[in-house]
Amino acid sequence: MKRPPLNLSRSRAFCLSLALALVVAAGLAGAALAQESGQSGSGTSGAVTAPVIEFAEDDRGLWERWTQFIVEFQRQANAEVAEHMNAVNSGEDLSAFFLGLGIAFVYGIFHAFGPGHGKFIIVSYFLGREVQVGRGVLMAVQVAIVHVIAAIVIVWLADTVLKVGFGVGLAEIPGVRAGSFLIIAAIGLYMLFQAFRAALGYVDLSELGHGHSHGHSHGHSHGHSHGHDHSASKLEGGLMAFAAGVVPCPGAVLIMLYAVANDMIYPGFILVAAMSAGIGLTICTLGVGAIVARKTAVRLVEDAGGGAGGVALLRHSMNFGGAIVVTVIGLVSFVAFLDIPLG
Amino acid sequence: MLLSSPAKRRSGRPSLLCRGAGPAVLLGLALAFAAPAAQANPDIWVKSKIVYRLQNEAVVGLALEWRFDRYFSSRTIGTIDVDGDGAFSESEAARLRQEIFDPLSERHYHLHVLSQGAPRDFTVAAFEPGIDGEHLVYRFAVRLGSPVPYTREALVVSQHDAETVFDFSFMEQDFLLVEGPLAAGCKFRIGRGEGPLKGHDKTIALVCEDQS
Repeated sequence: MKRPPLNLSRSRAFCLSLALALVVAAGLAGAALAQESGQSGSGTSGAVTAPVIEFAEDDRGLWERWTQFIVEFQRQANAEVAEHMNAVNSGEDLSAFFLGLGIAFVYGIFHAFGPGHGKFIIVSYFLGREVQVGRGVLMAVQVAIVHVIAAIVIVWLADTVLKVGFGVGLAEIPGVRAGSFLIIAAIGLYMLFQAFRAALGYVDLSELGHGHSHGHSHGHSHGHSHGHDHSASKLEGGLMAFAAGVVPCPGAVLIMLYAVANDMIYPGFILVAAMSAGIGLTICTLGVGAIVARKTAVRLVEDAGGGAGGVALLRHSMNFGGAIVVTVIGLVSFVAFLDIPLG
Repeated sequence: MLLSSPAKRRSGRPSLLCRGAGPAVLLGLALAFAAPAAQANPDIWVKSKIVYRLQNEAVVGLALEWRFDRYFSSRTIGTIDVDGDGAFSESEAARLRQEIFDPLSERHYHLHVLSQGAPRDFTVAAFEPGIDGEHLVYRFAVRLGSPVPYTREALVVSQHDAETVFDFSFMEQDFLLVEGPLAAGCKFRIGRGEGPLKGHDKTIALVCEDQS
């Protein structure tokens, strides 16, 4: 059957009329809804007016302005990321997606400045360890990867785990948090043990954190060999990165959940990865800063004529300081988690 | 090696904290301590609107509207709106209230009401969740334990989550309204919190010329 030819001008006029009618209807409906919402559960009724409002002069200091900027940026970025995910989903060009990636990355950088994400632990760890800058970078990458994996795993478990956490905090995932605190405390205690060994002269100070364990093997020929084993330090670093990153960022979890709910799993995964890379960059900067601070402090003492004794004292102090802080963070966090009164 | 080069080692008394080492160590510690103190890590973003309910030159209650970000909204709507009709039925609203809204009472709904510097009690009088496009919306009213005569006592209200899970900002328009007549010479002043509200970014003070 032949379809009658489409009259474009009539069709256009119809569309315009329809659009106009929809706009008017939407406007009326919106007004009605607004009226209804004003009088509904919130119970607003009667004369509602706009009062005189004045804003106090902004007398924030530099640090408070910086904090405010971070929050404002995150507020904007949070909305933008969702916009760009929707743009990808609705078939708009890929530039929206890549722009979203960039925003998610920068969002992660700023998001990591807030509490959590293991920054404090990483900084304390590296202040108490004699390591190369590369270790700081590696650990940040590990933390970022663990963060992504943790977010994905949690989303898989969302239906059984997160329902109870809405009102109080999405990061309240009992086993994961408790486990990470215990690992941190254990690493802190191990660092403390090593710091004592170094102080008593059982190991060379410069070998702490390098994981140089000296294996003494006596064969039939009564030979004597030294083996430098880096596996212990790698394990320690890996565990630290795991403990610092395993509690997933609730922000990343929510983005992932949003992606899953809207059938945008792969864009969501990539956006969360970009966000985690941003978090990793912040952690990396702080970790490397701590490593450089330690090295600089040692060099300055050497240059200032502190002598071998002064350098050793400084390094012992930082070893103990870092170990104590890491241990205390782990234990206090665990005790706080268990809600055990300390007083 | 830089750190243990014998050539660099000198004998003499150790001068640990002298000449430069202190600042370097302090830099590292500052990095460690300053960053977590930023308290800038919200995960749930809320745009809010507040209506003051006035009677006989006293504030008797507040009506609030919270509009959540897409992520939290998506998760919550997906969980609660089981029939997927884009609206909360009575039973869905009741479940949302029980599982998600009521637990906020442990945090006083992140609502801080003070008069003369002292916190005032309030109770939630009504709660009505809704869905607006992709956004979850809470509309709820609180009734003050006793009316606050705002012409005599300064009243300060703030929405703030000390644990920074929630971030509250005002809606773009009509974020602050009054229901009922506002006494002459009274106005609202928005600024940073002081005293018990120190750290709160946007406190709302209802101030009048004759207030003590």
